[in-house]
Amino acid sequence: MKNLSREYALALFELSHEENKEDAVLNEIRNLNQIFNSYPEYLKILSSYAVSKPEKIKLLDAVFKFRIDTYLLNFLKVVVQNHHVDILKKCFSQFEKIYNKKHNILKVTAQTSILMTAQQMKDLTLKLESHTHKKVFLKNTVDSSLMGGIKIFYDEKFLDLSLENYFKELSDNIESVKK
Amino acid sequence: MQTNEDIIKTIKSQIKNYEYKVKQDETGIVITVGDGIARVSGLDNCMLNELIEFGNGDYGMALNLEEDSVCVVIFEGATDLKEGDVVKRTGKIVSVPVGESLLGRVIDPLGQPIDGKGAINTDSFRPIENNAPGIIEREPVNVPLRTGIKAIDSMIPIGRGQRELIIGDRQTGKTQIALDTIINQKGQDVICIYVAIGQKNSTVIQLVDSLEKFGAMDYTIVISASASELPSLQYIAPYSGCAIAEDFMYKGKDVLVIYDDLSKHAVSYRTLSLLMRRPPGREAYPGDVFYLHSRLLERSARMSPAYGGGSITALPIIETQSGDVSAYIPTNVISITDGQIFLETELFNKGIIPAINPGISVSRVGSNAQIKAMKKLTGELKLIYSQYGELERFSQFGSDLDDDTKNRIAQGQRIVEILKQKRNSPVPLELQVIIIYAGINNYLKNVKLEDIKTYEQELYEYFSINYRDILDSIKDSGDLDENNKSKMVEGLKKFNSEFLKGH
Repeated sequence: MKNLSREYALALFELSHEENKEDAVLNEIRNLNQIFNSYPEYLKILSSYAVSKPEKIKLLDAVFKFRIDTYLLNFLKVVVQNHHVDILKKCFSQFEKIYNKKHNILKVTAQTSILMTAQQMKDLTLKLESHTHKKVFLKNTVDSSLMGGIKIFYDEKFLDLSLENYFKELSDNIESVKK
Repeated sequence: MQTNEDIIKTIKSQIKNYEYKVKQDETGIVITVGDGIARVSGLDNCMLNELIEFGNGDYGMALNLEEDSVCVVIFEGATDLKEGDVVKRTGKIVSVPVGESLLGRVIDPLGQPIDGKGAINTDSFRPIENNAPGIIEREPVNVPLRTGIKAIDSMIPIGRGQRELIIGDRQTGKTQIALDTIINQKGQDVICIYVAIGQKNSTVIQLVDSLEKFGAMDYTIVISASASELPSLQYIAPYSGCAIAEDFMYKGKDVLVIYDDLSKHAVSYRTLSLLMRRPPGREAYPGDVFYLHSRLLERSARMSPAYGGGSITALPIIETQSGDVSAYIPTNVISITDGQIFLETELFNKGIIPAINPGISVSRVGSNAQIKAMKKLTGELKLIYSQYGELERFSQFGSDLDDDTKNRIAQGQRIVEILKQKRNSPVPLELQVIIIYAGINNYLKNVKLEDIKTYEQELYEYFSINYRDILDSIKDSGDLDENNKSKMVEGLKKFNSEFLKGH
């Protein structure tokens, strides 16, 4: 079951890649994610056994036909028919992961105590790109408890260069020396 | 996507149209059905063990509540159930009707009559699953439950509120012991419940016939989930029987419940569990098969007077394969019950009926549940019996033994003869005391083995006619005082001389 969402995503990606539509499809997926997040009842309808399969197809057509890529619409129909709507969100996130891997993109989040300037963002991006040899998309979030410095998250890795951490390590060292 | 607003608008209207249809708190849709199990989506508010109603009036029970579906075991029929059918909650946990109006009836585990004598009139229902009484509410077992079977009442006595397991191979007389016990409860103010699990229908009807013939149906309820019923009904049968018994117990009555048999019960539970994809354990039984029986048997208890003073005595029956008592289910139930009565094929084939082996049979309540008169005799009886067991092998060397051994063997043989008993012929305790006294004090020394049966019958008649007062005194007081004892000895001597004259 864990790999099922990946299988779905891979299928959709390869299909859109063949026709060079992957960027467009990725955008539409992001949009769909937003819509489904605001209207979770819709996914409930699509996964319910009370509505017959032909009816669900009709519903999807009514909403999405000619408004999103045909392959994406068919993808939704296939997922609905296989009763796999519960993993649809995972499929979308897997699609994005595959896309990023293919295009050598790395998404990085930098957490600072105050907002970074545009110049600082550019410098950090360049530094990270030379370090990881990938195209880096940098996002900046603010957390005042850091006091200073920066925390960098990417790919499940985590670099803690904040002042908060520095002070914590300092106090730990003092404690151990005290004993 | 330029037309985002259009998309959202259409989605919103669709949600509005389908909202009521998709609301699945009280109803559900059948996704898969087969082998007596229906998997249902929806039923969001369903309780565990709740009664679920199918479209055509059949019922099922929700046994597995999973994240996105409910496993419902079908109770009966539902042969036309198909994918997409709507099922409804009833809001009730599976319950069974209880009360006096059930006496004399034969019902199925859901309380529906199957004896053709009309509907059952009762307003009270009781859920089949209940908690066992706690420690404070109980009282130690010290009132005897008389089975009328000499071998049991003397050496493996059962008390009211005890659980005594009857265990043996097939065709060794397990059900007959239970039946005899029920027949002997006539006039003892004990309500009897016989739960038949997975039995043949022909066996059950024979049993009901016997009970009716001996007038036992007036105080007996028979619950039958025969072999042709779905495993779900066989699974709940003992719990239904226990619930009916509990209702009487909490009203202060004494009840005897017989579960015939729990091996088949475990098998039906295994069937259900495997079909519901629960992981199999040892011998493919699910992990909670011990709990299956322990929660059933713990509900048998003796209540303290503050809580009514009633009791439930349980006689579960287990069938072993080739005498293997160390198999999974037998060991489980042995460790739950307060003793066991072992029946052996060997003894049965030798003609010793009931085929009870008193050497390895145990009653953990023991002499607390015996009248004083009997208590004084059992010690010696057990001793003589076990000594005879050791010496029996030497009986083949007839002439090469010394007199003492020969006498012991002769006495042992006569005692074995006394303990044999025909079916459906319970012996009142007073008469048991007499014959056992005669046996252990060697009054039978000069009686030929073939004549022992006649001796016994005539002894009973003799004492019932001529020494009625001794019998009544034992019955009322439970003890044999010195006065009565000497009268009894005198009576025995007189009878002996008369009998030996004629034989």
